[in-house]
Amino acid sequence: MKQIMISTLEKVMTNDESIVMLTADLGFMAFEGLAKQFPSRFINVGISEANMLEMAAGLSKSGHTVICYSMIPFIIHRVFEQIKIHLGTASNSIILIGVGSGYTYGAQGSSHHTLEDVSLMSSFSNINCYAPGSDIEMQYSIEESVISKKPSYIRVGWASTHLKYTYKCGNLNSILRGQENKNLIISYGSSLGCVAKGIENLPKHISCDLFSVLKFSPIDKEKLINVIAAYDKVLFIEPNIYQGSVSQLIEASLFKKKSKVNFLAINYPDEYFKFAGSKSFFEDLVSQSPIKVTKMAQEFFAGN
Amino acid sequence: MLTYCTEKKLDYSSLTAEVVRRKIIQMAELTGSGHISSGLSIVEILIAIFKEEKVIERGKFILSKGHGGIALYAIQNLLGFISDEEITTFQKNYSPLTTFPTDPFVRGLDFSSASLGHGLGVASGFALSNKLMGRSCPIYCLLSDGEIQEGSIYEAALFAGHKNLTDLRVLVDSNKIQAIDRVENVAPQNVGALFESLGWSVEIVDGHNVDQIADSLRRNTEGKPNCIICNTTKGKGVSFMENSIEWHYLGLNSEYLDLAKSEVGII
Repeated sequence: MKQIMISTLEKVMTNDESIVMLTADLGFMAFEGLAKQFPSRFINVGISEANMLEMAAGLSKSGHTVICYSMIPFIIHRVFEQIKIHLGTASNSIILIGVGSGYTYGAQGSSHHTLEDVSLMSSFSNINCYAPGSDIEMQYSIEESVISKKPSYIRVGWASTHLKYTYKCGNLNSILRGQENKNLIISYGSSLGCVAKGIENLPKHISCDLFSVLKFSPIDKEKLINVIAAYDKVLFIEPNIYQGSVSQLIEASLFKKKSKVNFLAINYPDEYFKFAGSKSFFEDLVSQSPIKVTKMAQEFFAGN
Repeated sequence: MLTYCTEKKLDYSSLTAEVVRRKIIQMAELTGSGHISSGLSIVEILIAIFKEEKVIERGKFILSKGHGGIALYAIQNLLGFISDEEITTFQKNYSPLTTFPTDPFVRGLDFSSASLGHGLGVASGFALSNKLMGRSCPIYCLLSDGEIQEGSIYEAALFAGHKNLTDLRVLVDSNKIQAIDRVENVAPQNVGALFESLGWSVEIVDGHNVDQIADSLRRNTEGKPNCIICNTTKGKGVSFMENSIEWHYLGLNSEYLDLAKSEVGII
């Protein structure tokens, strides 16, 4: 996924000379080529994320599309006021690429765990937010953001480099579709790969469809509700806490519509772990590893 | 150029400190709310930028200390960009003239925010764009001295100094008072030494002397961005507001209104 991100950035920067890319001193073993290829338009602004976003606003007002890159805790949490003013209120053409969603950097400790940025960024109705879970979704997210010239956030987890399923990528994606299934699993971003693997390991008598919510905000709620309405049981596995999440939004809509769909959301716990662990270790701990997904799906879908 | 730049020929003749201060007090009378003295301290700085430097025709202006908005509106009104009718809506329901001019809702602003610490970074973005595109125009950014306590100002000043963003002209309204105390009691710093250490050319001027400010804006900074520390008096022109902490927030009630009006020459 990292490679497709780099090659897509190279492509869009080649095609559009108005694009400037800023990094807050991150991108080791990733952006060396871009820095060489675009020496004036690829700029390391230093460890100063607030200034990065403010400069992005000035550049955007001068006619540039600006891509800002850093880890999620630094490009979202640390500079939330800058996001509010320069992307939320002013709607500048700024694309935030934040890496390290969820427990991607699990071993680094809780400062690097990002459990609630989906909730935070969903609170802005004018910011297009993407969480790519595959190479094709990564490419789509960057290209869509550049074309739209709207403020955007791309939440990257580096997970699921390749999903073996081919699908036409859009804001909402049907990835794995069986026949006459009454079970559905929805997921996105860094959880998508685990979910796909978990589905592969389901016993043959239990089948389900898989749906990816690539663009998690503003979400096409009606379309997603219509998708869900065709199923009996829906399991939503989401790499974010429940408060302010997509699953909470959907659950509230289903409740309002008095839907009879049996809906179960599995989100990150609303607490920070005080110990180290790998990404896969934490995913297992929060019931989002492939094994746990298989087990959960098996139990939840049993009886259909 | 400022976004409200039009083909209209600008008439700067009414732009004097006396007239601007009268306008500020007239606006304050309409609302009864505060942030008057923050506007009074920057009158000559704004005149230097708008009248002497003609920013509307040839540059960009960022009011980073958004709490000086009342003075900016007064100047916009005197230049005809805000009508006499519209200026009376200042701070009223549905008026675009919020206490602190807010990007992007007030026309004629390249950027402003009452969330302090944003302006210098945005100004650096404008200057960086100029450099990337091989063009040049002055980018004026007005900060308050208290605002320099914000860490993002350091981030921006460091970057701009290192990259020699010579289009930048930063003016610091050094009135020595912040929201609820004097700067020296809260977090004093040697602003000139700070900016110099980050690669800026620094000069200290009388912030109520338009000629001095204008001269400093035009001096040769030898390839460095320009930082001008303007020594000012908060509340300048209204004796009981001058150098007063409480008048940062207080509004003009009937007790003080007549005195303020007479001191600025409103009969």
